[in-house]
Amino acid sequence: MKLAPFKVYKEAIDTGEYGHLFHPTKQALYNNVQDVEKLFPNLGPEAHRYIEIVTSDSYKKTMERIQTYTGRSPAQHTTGTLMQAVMQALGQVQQIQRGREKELEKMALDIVLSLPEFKIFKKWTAEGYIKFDVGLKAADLSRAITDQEKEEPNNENELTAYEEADEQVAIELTKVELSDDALKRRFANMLTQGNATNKLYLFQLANDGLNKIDPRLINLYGIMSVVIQALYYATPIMRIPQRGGDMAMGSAEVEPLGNGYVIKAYSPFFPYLIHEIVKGCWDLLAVDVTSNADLNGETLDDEMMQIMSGPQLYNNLIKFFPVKENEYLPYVYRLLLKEKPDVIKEVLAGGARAQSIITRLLAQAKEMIAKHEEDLNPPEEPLSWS
Amino acid sequence: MNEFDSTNELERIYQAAIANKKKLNEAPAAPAPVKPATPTKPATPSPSTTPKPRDPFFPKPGQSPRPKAEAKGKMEEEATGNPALTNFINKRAKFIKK
Repeated sequence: MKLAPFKVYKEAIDTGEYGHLFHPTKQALYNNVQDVEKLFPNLGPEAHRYIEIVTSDSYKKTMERIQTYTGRSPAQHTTGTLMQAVMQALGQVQQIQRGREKELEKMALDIVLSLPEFKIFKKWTAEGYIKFDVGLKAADLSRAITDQEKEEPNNENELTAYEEADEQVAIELTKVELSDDALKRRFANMLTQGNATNKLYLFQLANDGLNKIDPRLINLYGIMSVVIQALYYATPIMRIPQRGGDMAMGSAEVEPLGNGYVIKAYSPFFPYLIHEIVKGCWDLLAVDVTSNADLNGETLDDEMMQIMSGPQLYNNLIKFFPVKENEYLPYVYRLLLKEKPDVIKEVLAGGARAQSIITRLLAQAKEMIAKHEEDLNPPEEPLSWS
Repeated sequence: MNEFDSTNELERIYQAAIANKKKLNEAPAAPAPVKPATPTKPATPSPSTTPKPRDPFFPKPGQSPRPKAEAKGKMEEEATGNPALTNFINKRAKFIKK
């Protein structure tokens, strides 16, 4: 008996002019994201789903950058030419960076902490709440798990085709509703990856310093950043092997230390080191959203979708935020994570309602900051004569 | 130093202490200081002993966002002691796939 297919794939992502660099298996991922979508607004039966819209926009932005940094239209690129370009760039970058590790590590941290959005991390560092461990070196993913490790405790019980079919039914029947906290955690992960991916291009802020090291660096960093991002869309789905650290571009980890945390960010490449520092900082902002037990299901494979969809999600969120108030973004983000998922949904849906929620949270954040500062430095009591 | 020497030494310390105490008792009482009419600040606890209020925005300490690889065995461990539940969980674990 031939089994009927359980999923019908449909075209859902709008790839614009250059659809050939978005692999069909990656597009198909977006047909099965019900649990993630619980957090996103319902745009109506005629409209695309929210997650598909943000993914399409992120992809189109990447295509624009391909033109900027490689000097060639995406139409002239294939997965093969992109691979070739990035391998060449990575080799040259490693050679130029050799011996300049300390200088580049400091530069990367300084760039991130100089942004208004990261003022809070500078403050927490000065107050002893956090420490940074930043390294221009290979990723450390020794504590991470991959889907393969999660799924295959042993190979003895490999599923037959019929069992595979039963499995699909079982998943549908026994699907456990994600808790509000777990949903928020998924939202936070996607937003963090999106923010960090957008910040891959921050190396431009260090133009002078990088030019002093080698004038070729800026262009090489541009090529490697955009091409690696494009390859997330262009390559077919591949399971990350159990020793996934060997092929990772970097790692970010938040580790408890006393009453505070250490943010560990490693990557052998400068733009990705900046990306990992940003990721570590924003990971810290969401570190207590769920309990440790709820975090067990997170895998390296989950990051793929976060990188493909997150950049535009982040842009959608910050567009309600006044630029001059950017330093309050982390505070508002933490307050937003404490709200019910419906409130997050309303913010993502945009419009006047979203603006009013952000304005309310911004006022709340400022009030809490003022109260805390007053507690730290109580006003001097008037002198009394005795 | 033998036991005899040691006793002598203790005796010497004892006598010296008595002499000192006498001196203190014999000292004339100092006049009570006149309280100056100067403004004073209310007593504030020493900054080194007062814990600073914690930043309300700083995350709760002790969370670990990256799970250790060995965490995947947790479900089976929790089922110990209930064979029916163990069977169910073992079967369910087989079905946990993305």
